[in-house]
Amino acid sequence: MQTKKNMNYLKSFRSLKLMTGKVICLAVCLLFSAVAFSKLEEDNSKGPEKIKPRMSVKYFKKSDGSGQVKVSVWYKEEKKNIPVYNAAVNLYLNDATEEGLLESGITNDDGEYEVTLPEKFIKATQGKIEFTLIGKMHENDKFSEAEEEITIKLAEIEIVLKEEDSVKNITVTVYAIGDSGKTPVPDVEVKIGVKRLFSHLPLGEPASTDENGKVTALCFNDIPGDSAGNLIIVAKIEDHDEFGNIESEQQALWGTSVTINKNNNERAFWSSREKAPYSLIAVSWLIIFGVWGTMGYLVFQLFKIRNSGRKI
Amino acid sequence: MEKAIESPTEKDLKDRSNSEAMMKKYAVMEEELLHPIQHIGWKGKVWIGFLVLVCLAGVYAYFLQETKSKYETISLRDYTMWGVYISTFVFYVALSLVGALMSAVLKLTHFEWHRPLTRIAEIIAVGSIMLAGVCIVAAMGKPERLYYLFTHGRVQSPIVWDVIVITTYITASLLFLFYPLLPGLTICKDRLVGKPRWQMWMYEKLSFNWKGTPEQWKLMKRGVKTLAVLIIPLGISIHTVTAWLFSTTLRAEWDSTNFGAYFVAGAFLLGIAGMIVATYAFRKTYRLEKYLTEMHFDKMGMAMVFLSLVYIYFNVNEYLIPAYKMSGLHKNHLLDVFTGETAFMYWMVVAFGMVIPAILPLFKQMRKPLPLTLIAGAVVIAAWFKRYLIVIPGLAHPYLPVQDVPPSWIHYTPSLVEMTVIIATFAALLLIITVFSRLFPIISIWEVAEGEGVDIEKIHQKK
Repeated sequence: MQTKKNMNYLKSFRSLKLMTGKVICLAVCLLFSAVAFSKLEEDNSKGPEKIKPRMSVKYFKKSDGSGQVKVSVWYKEEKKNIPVYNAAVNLYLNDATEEGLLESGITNDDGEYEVTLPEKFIKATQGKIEFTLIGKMHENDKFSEAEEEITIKLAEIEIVLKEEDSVKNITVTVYAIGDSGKTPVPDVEVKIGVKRLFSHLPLGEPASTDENGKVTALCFNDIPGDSAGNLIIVAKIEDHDEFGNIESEQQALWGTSVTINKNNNERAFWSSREKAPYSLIAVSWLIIFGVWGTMGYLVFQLFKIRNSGRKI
Repeated sequence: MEKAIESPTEKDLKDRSNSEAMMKKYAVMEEELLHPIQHIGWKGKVWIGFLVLVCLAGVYAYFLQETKSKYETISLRDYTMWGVYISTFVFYVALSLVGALMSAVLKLTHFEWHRPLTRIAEIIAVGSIMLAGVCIVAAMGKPERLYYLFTHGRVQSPIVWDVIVITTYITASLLFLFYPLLPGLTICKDRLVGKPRWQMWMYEKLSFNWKGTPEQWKLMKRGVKTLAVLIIPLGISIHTVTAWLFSTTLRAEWDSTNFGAYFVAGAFLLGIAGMIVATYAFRKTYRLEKYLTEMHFDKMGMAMVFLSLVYIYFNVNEYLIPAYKMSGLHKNHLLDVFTGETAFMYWMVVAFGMVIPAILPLFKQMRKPLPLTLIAGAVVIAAWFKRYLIVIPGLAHPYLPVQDVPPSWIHYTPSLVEMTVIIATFAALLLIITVFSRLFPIISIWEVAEGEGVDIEKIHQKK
């Protein structure tokens, strides 16, 4: 009887254990599901993750004194730079507020926004020795916000041209414009070249300015110039941390004169319709009139045959 | 006293008997040569119907080409911007030289055996040059701008020269076809019975009141002679100028001083081959064995041997000499033609288009109508492929390396639309010739009669 009692007790203990296990399992499952679903809901409500773009701002000072800014926006995907096009970009001066806003625009297919700095910029930077340009791309559906700023110190490039014993020397001096006036700047890489149709013909390798802010180069002989023999010598600083991009140019009568033979107005086989050679026009009209005249005569003869038949 | 009636002399009797025999002969000639016009059997109607259907298929194909994207319908691309349309244009221009060759040259040199062949040659020439114009228009990207060639064309351009020469040649060929047809039109008007009113009206109007007066004969024969003289330089110039379309460019394969004469030589060969095929077709279909005799085939066979040899000479200059040098610019093209993609086509053209017609007709048996026609048929087919080999491989090997382009730009294969249009042009040519031969005498009755010794002017005057 005791054994039967024990066995009953053992049975109920086992079933209780089993049931407890099942309950615990069920509770864990329910808890896990609740957590998973709540996470999923949270993710769905958050939306897809936005891409963080990168931005660069470059300042260009042209030889005529005008300033240009190029804002580039891109993002990285699988080690490739992908341009961000059609993105709204704002350009600010010193202050990323409504007051500091210079220009707004949209990036092109290459992810770039280029703009000439307006009158507002010139007025605002008059008498200043440095300024800050801020590029800002606003957040949209796909991309998060991007911002970049550069601080530019004013600088100047001076070109001195000297010819001695047929040797054409070019001396370029870089000055930083500060409160105390112009100060030569050492260790600035300068590229010197001759302006051509699409780019510049380099005169020597790019060189850094010495302690006096100078760098020299020699101009080649026999570089074709314009009809008078003028060349435009160009000196430029590219992507400097402090000065940005600066270009300066100077004209010199150092080239060989080139007279372009504008034979578009001459009568030739390769000219336009109105400028065919006289000999060709004469020969072709002679042949055409000769042959068609003969055929015209033959057609006339046909009518003569007809008229001859009418007489009968 | 009454004067005695003089009895006819023996000579008078003989003359009268000869005259009657000639009249009889001429009457038989008229009947036999008008027979194809008088009677059109069911086979003839089926043939015309078939040709019309093929032409309509070509019109539909061209409609598709012009209404749908050309990139989808035709295979012309950046490199091969000239394809089968232009090669077929060159083919038709070459074929049109048969008029100058068979009609004009033989007439002026008094080879009497030309007489039954002249009209066949002239209608082939007229039909071919018309279809040449059709091929050019089909090749144009914007055919509605065709008139610009006339309003804005530069006289320095070989294309404008080609337009001028083709227009002039087609006018001269039409005149050359029409002038000797005048007596034939009157014969049709007087002799045909049971024909529709419009057809009789057409003969009436086109005959230009031809009565066969001495003055009319004189004017007509003088006109034919003038045209024969005029059409020879025109025929040569049309094919020379067509050659200049290619040789005035700087492409290595086309930049050759040989091209003008090379094209003319090829045109003469194609002309004689086309003539042989057409002559055989008319001989069999219209039962004209009495007029298109074995002698004609014998003569044309000998002419074909001579012209094949001339053409081989020009081909040696064109291919063997650059192959001897194998300069960089020619090398790719020549290797492609001799051993590459187009090698099979090239060697078949050489064999069937030049070597076989130069050798086989040397044997008399091969100058019989059927064997000669088979050889000539092969020459005609080979001639089309020859023009293909001149145009397309030349374009497929530009100066700059071909890279990073779609495969369809590298290998040109004519599309279904293009081939349908081309086949339709062949059908159109056959249709023009067939319809002409069913409306007008395909053999010039008066010229053949004159050749047989019949005093044709007297006969017409008597009528």
